[in-house]
Amino acid sequence: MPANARQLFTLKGLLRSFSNSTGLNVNFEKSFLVPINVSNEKSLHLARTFGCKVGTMPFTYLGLPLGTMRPTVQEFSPLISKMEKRLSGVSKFLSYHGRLTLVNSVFSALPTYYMCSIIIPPAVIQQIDRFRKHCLWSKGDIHRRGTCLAAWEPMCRKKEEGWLGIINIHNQNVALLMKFLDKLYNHANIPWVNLTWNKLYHNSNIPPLQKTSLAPFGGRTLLNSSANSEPSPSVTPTLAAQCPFGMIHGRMIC
Amino acid sequence: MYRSSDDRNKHGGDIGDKNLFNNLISDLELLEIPFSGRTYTWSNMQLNPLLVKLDRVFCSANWNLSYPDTTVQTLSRPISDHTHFVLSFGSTIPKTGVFRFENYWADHSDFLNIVDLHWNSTAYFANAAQNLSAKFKQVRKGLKQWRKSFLNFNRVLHNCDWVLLLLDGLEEQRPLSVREGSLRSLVKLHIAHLLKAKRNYWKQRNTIRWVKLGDENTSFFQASASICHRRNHIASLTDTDGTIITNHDQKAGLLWTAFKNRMGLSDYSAISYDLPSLLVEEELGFLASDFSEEEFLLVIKSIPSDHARGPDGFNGKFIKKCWQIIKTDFLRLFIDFFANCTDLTSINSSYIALVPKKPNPETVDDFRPISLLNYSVKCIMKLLSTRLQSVILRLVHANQYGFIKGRTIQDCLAWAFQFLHFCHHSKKEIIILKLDFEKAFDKIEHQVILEVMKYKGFPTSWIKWTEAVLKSGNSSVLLNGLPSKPFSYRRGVRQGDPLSPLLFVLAADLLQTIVNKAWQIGLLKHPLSDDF
Repeated sequence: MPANARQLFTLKGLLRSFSNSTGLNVNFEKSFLVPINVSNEKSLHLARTFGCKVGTMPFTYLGLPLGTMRPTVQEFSPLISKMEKRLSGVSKFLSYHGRLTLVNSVFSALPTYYMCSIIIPPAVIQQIDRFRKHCLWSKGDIHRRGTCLAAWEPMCRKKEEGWLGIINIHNQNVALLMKFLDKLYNHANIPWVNLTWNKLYHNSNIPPLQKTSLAPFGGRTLLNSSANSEPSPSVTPTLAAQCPFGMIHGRMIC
Repeated sequence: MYRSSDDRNKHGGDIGDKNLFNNLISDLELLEIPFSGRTYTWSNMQLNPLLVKLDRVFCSANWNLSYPDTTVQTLSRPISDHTHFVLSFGSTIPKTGVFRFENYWADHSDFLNIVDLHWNSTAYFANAAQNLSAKFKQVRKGLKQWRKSFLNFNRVLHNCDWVLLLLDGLEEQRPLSVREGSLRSLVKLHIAHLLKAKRNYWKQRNTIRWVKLGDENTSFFQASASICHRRNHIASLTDTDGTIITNHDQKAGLLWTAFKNRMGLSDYSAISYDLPSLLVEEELGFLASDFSEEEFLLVIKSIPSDHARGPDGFNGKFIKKCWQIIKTDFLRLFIDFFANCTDLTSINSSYIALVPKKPNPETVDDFRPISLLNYSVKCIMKLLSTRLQSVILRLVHANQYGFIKGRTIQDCLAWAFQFLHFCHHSKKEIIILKLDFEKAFDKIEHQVILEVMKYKGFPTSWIKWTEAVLKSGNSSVLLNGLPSKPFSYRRGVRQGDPLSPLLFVLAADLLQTIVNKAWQIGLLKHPLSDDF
């Protein structure tokens, strides 16, 4: 909402009447206010008016870091520590095959929730791959250098062709993000799509390939990868289905 | 030494040491026994203290199997800068006096006869709910009696082993006679049965959803059960004054008052909005149409059999196994309920299980109260919620994402990302508020839900059904397996009831409506519009 004390006061009144009617109280201890383009003094003043704290930009919303900047490596530390905890568990009792399944079904699945919404930075992917390699080659022991029986990259190729079929995190990530492109291009009736169309394309029918339109969730990476695969990106049928490098299953074929 | 970054109140510490320590623990195959009541055990006693979890208790896997009831309690810090520990252990997981159906009974050959006998030996009640609860009571009594005829697993297994050993020894001396041979195969069969029953017994004592098929590993289930038991055991609680309580009755009293105040009281006066002008009536006549028998059967199939049992002590496994015996009474309950001619009070009770929200819960607020409902009530709730789910998309605003089938949390996140992005680029002064409603599920007023339904065009009979399930609910708090005295619900929807999220979403949607209205009449302004 606009950074305006009177507006905030009105909202507070509304919330109070809502809580009187329904019994739902706002917990001001846990609530906070995040200023955008507002000076420090003003935001402090507004927070005092409203009765809550001032929050800063990347804040956690539904478990993900939400901010105007690209999320930093630091913000993925909950994910990294979660994976680390899993690593020292059962992997040492398993056979190669068991550990391979563990790599694909557990270690590649843990970041899925993040991957559905944000593009994972290369440094974090590197860290995730380190855990996966440790799990596969050195039985989860992070200190012992296990004997890597093969290079990692080709192992990510398909199993039918004789490789191990390990999921490539980056490709999986891009594939999962493709659905946003699909929804945007097909103008699905979803609030965020409507918002984007009203804001950016309200006078043209075909959405131009503006890099800003999907910037928050790694739009550039997405558009580059779709441009590589499809010469004219003004596609109407689902982009994800057409995507020719078979990333739907998250495995690189090319 | 510490194991994870949560073990210190400040940043720092050597990550290499941490990994080394964790690897050593996993190399030695040790299990850590968590302690309850506090997070850190050592303080450097400075003004701005450094608090670390330095002291730990470990045991081996075998110890865990032999002494599953090992718990660690913390004491205060009188002299040392370390916390004192009290270690107590027992060789069995304590059983409670509360009746609970055991899955392994169902495999017994006498089981169905016993149930049949007791189910059909009770007097007939006109009230279907009362009828059902009386029958369950009788069956409980019968099964309790029958259970006594069972011998201790371990003793019988030991005896069987001894007999086998004897026969095997005999075989080395001379060939076995036909009778001895058949005795041996009989004993072997019996052992197989017992082992299966034992596995089922332990499997039911913890929830492991990731093992699906054919795991015969009793000791694994037993170990998980004791870990589970230890995690859920509440040894001490801190009350509002900061006093630590360890006495069972005092703890139970504290919990009962806390939950009674939260859900058993109502502050409702009136809704200060003009609902008819705010809400739009929808065509929802379909909600009140009659339920068919197929729908009933489908719902019974759809509820998993292994979920926690409610106060009547029976789970889906029992219902499915004995369906032919209990069918008529169950269907009568559904039919009578939907014809508004039964009072659910006698079966609509639940146990509140306390699930810790964080690793070392201290106060009542650190637990999430999950209600365990009776299977029969759960079926009714599920019937109602399946129907409501099919129309909910029309009823709540497109910006509400939680608990609604067909909307995904990813779109919600996408909206937030996109909106934030536009706000940032608009160069306008904007603030974002992240609000948290305290104890939202537990505190929402029943009358609000019903009023909102009324003005959204819900049929009268549907509102009556909802009112009946909301108003007849009562609950007891489970503390370490022992239930307290019950209290009845005056507000709040129960967590663990399939209908609750939908009712909550319906009522909470009112806020969205109000904010939208305020925007329409110009009280609030949209930050991205041009006119401010």
